[in-house]
Amino acid sequence: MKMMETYYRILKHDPDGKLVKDSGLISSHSYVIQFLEYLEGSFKVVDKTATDVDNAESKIVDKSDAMDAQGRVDAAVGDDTYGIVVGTNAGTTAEDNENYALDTKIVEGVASGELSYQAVTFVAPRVVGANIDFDVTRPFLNEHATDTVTVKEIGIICKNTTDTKYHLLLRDVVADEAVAAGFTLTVVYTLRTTV
Amino acid sequence: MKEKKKPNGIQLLLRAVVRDPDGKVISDTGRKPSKSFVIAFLKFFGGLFDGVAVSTTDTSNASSVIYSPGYTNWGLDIDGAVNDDAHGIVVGTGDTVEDNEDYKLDTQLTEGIGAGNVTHGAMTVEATAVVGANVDIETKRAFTNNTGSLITVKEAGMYAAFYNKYFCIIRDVLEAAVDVPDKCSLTVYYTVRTTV
Repeated sequence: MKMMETYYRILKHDPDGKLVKDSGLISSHSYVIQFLEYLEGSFKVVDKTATDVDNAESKIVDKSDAMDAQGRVDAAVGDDTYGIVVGTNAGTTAEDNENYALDTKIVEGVASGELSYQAVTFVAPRVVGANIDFDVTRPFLNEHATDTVTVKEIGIICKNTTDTKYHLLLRDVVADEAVAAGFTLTVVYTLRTTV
Repeated sequence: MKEKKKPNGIQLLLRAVVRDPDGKVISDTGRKPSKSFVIAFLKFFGGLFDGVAVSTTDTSNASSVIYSPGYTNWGLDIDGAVNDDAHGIVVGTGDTVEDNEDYKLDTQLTEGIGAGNVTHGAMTVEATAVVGANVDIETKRAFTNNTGSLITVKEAGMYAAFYNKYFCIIRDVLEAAVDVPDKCSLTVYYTVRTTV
């Protein structure tokens, strides 16, 4: 079945920048309800609320806002509130259509159990072979001296800047990815259309 | 037992129902997988996620802004009104094979009652809902044939408006042509679906 396919890819680099793992493209099947709620509001150009990451209803589309005040994923260095995010899934929460947050997000920092969030970057939609691909990428660096951090869930959170609200759009439970001290984990989401 | 493969993104389903003037169903394709989000759909999200202006080819084959950071009261607007053939679900008679970079239907049936026309009803965009194991948005539009002749529909799609420009975000050539006799209606449904 063709559709707007979505994949994630996980790369791992050692402290010298050498690539030590490339998962290749793995099917993501975990858009959550907030994505379609955004789409609904956008389709009708009406205000639309959705469950935010704090489990409260807040506007995911506010038609009186400028376009750049909603749906933002372009988080900067050090910002773990939105963009691609990673977690430990400590509660072993399964993917669900109505997930509104990661189970246990790994926070920004250099202490044990934390990761340094790098900036989200994009490769704009373009023709790639028989497809149109749009890539969203974010590296995460483990700057602790000794401790490993294990990533078990990933996702994308968007930001409504006017109200400073955050909504989860995608969440994937992934195979355990141990990020040793000094290593960098990079998550790439590819949104793809193919006729 | 082989595990059923999970869908890995956003599914799109297309259904076409023809009814006689009394509302009796003449034909119903059922929901079929649509395969044809085209480039403008991703271009919009490229701008939205990054907060930067993005242009792409509009339905008049000109480069126009599909997302711009400063505009208010715009989105991926498909909410076309009665008699509006510029945005919303659209239908046509062309059967040129789909392409990732399609920017319009091959041969759109425009609004009216003459040859090459069809009468456009208002768009309906249902609320996002959990439906069984899925989350769906159902969109639909009725078209009435008031031309006095049979219309054979071979393609369908969706045009979205952004800042008074129109962009094709979906185009499908139907698996089988759909005949719409005079005075009968065709309702096209597009269902956008996610499933974890």
